[in-house]
Amino acid sequence: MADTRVLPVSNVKYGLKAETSFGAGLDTDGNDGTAYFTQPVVQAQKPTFNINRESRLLSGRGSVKNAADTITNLRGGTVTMPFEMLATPRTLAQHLLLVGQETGHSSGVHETEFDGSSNADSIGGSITSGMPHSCNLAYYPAAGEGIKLCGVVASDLTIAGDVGANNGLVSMSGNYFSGFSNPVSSSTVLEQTFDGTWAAAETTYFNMMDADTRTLDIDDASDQTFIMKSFSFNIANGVNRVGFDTNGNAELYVFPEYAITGSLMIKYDDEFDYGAANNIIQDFLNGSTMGLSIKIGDGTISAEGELNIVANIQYTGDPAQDLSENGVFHSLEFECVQNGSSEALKISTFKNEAPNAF
Amino acid sequence: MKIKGKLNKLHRANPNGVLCDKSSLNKLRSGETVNVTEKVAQELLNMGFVEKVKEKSKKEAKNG
Repeated sequence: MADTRVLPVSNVKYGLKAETSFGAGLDTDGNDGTAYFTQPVVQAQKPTFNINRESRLLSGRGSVKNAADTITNLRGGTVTMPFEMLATPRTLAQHLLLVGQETGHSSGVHETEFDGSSNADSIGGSITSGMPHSCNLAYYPAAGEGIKLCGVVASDLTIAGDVGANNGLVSMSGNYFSGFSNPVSSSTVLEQTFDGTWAAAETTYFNMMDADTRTLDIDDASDQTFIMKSFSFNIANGVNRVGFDTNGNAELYVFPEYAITGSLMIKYDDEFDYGAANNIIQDFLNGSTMGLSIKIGDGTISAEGELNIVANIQYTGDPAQDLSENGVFHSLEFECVQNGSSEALKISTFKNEAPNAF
Repeated sequence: MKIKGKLNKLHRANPNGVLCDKSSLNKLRSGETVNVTEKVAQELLNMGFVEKVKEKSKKEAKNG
């Protein structure tokens, strides 16, 4: 008789915990008792093992492949896993570390900047105070059926807010990346039981309708205040695995380029129009670099749920229009660029924990 | 422990996600000082939503 067991989607959870040694399991003895931080996702996606499989039709086999002529190679592969969730104080701070490999943590304020010099070009050496930042990831459908991934970073991260989506709460999405595709007891493991006390998902969020500061430079004016419908920032670090340890797992990761793009939808008004001094089209035609600030909270970053985003942007296309019942809005696509000593992108948020406690 | 809410921060506290009871949270939101357990106070302090109210010493209290 067929088995009647059902695995409800909501039974599956996953958690993260910062590593103390690159690519090594935090608890490698039997069941994993690590106290993972549960991630606030609605549906946990399964990790995908991207290993090498060779399948050939050899001469002399006739017209059908033979079972003996295929090879799988667990060494040298990667493991990836998508994620999507509402941003919370710890998850946002940690995922910025995972994608940006840079921090300026002090007294609960986590500041990750992208400036062309302070972000790590490679990781794989020792870890000090949670930096560089990589994680153990526990994917857990049921006892004895879990997957532990080691050496996990984020290859890309999108931070977005839209007054018409998620009740105006800021969301984040992206993909995890690991170069530890060969299951061994000391690292990535299958058929794992996680019996530690997992920390519950956080319940404080970032409300974009709580953004007191929303300013953008335009044409002849600086720091003009805009009325915002939505924003989005995408950070991709182009992570690649390099080398092979004794198990064929990665010796290091390289981050060849931190590419940051985004979009912003703001209202057409006297601050942002097609007229003299405030001409948003002129900024695109001139190739101007503009300062952009979005600050959720009073800008001081001293409590959970506060977020400062400061960027230097250049439009990548002609400012388009969004025509809605509320009038004309500008739909601005941009990329973030380092401008002198000003960072391409700097994001600050508050969580009263150090990176090595994540 | 006696705590007082930071009125420009406290609205971000999710009432369903903190240890503080509804009555105390309402008082904090009204700007009142409340006396709560160490655990409850510490959670809100860590989140940056409240500040600790310094208790007056016996001498300070006596002097008014």
